[in-house]
Amino acid sequence: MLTSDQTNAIRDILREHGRLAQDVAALSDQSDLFEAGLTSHASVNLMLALEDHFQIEFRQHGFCRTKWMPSLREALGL
Amino acid sequence: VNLRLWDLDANTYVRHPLHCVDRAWPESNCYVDLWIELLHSAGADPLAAMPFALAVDLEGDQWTFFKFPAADLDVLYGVTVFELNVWRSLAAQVAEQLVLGRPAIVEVDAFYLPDTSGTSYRSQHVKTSIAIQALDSDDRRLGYFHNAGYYELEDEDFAGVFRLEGHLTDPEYLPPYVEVAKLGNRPQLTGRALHEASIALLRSHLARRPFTNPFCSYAERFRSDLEWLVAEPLAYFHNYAFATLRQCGAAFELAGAYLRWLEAGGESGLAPAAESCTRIATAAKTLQFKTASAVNCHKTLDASPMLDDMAKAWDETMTMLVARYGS
Repeated sequence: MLTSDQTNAIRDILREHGRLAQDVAALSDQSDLFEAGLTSHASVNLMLALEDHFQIEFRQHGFCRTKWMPSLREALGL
Repeated sequence: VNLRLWDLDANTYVRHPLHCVDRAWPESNCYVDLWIELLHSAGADPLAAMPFALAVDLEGDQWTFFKFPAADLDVLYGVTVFELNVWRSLAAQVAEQLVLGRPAIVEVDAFYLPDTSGTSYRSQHVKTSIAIQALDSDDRRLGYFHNAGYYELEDEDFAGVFRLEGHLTDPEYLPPYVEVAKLGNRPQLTGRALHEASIALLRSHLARRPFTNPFCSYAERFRSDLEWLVAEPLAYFHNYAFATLRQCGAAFELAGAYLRWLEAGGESGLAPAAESCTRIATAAKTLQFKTASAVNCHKTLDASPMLDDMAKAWDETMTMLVARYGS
C-alpha cells in the first residue's frame, strides 16, 4: 500500500518527467497514461526518475499504462 | 470547402485494437502506426499485412525502420501508394487528392502538431509523417492520423504544417515528401481470400529473412555501442533506442500479434512462435530500460543474458515458421 507521501511523490515525478498533454491532477489512478500523452521516450525518463527517487529498481520491464498507479506500485515493489 | 474521407471526431475516435491494449511497445514508428489507423478507418484489418515485420534485420547502426511494403498493401487491400509530385500549393494538392477519395501522407514538422503537446509541439522541430483525411482550407482546419491516433489542428498550426506564412517561405526550403494512398483502386480482400493472401506474403517475407541471426550480430554490436553510449547524455540514448531496440522490439511484437491473428483465422499451432516473438519484444523493452539506467548512471551493463535470449527466440521463431511456410 502506498502512503500519501509516496503517492504525491509519484504524481510530482509524473508531472515533471511525463510531459503529458494534460494536467496530472486531473488523472485518476486508473487513467490511461498513453491516452494522456505519455510517449515511449517520456516513460523511460519517468521510470528512471522513480528509481532515483525511491532508490529501488523496477522489478519488470515496465508498467501498464492503464491503471498506472497500482501498476507502478507493483513494478517498484512498494 | 470542407473535405473529409470519413466522419471522424478526434475526441471520440476509437483506435485499432493494436493501439488500445497494453503492449510492451505502444508505439513502433510513425509510419507503421499511422498506416494501422488509416487501414482501420478504411475498414481493413492491418494485421493481415504484418508478415514483413518478421524480416527486420540489423542494418549497421540501426534496425530496419520497418514500413508496410506498398506491394503488400496493393495485394491485400487494393491500395496503390504513389509519390505526389509537389509542384504547387501543397494544401491545394492535398485537397485535390481528398476530392478523389485519397488521403495524403505528408512529411511535416511536429512543431505544429498539437497531439505532440509535451514533447515537440511548439518546442522542437522534428520530422514526422501524418495522413491527412480532412481539410477545410477556408477555416484552416485539418484532420490527420499521427502515430497511434487521430487528431485535429487549426489556424496557426495549419499555416505551419503547410508553410503558408511569409516567415516560413524560406527560399532554401524543399518541398516535403508526400505519398498518396489511392484507396479502392481494387476491392479489399476479406475473409478466406485475405487470410490466404496474407499467408502467401508470409512465405515471401520468410524467404527474405536475414541469412544469419540478426540478434547474434546485434549482441556483438551492442557491446561496443554501450562503451561509448554510457558516456553520452540521456537524450542521445533516446535516439539510439528509437533506431535500435524500439524498431526490433515493436516489429516482433507486431509479428506476434500477426501470428495470433493467423491462428484465430484457423492456422493452428502458431502459439509457440507467437510467444517467441513476444519474448523478443519484452526483452527489447527490458534492455531499453536497463541501458537507459546504465547511461543515466554512466555505469556498465551485462546485457548478454537478454541478448542471448532474444537470439534464441529468433531462432525458435524462424525454425518453426520456416518448417511450415518456408520453401
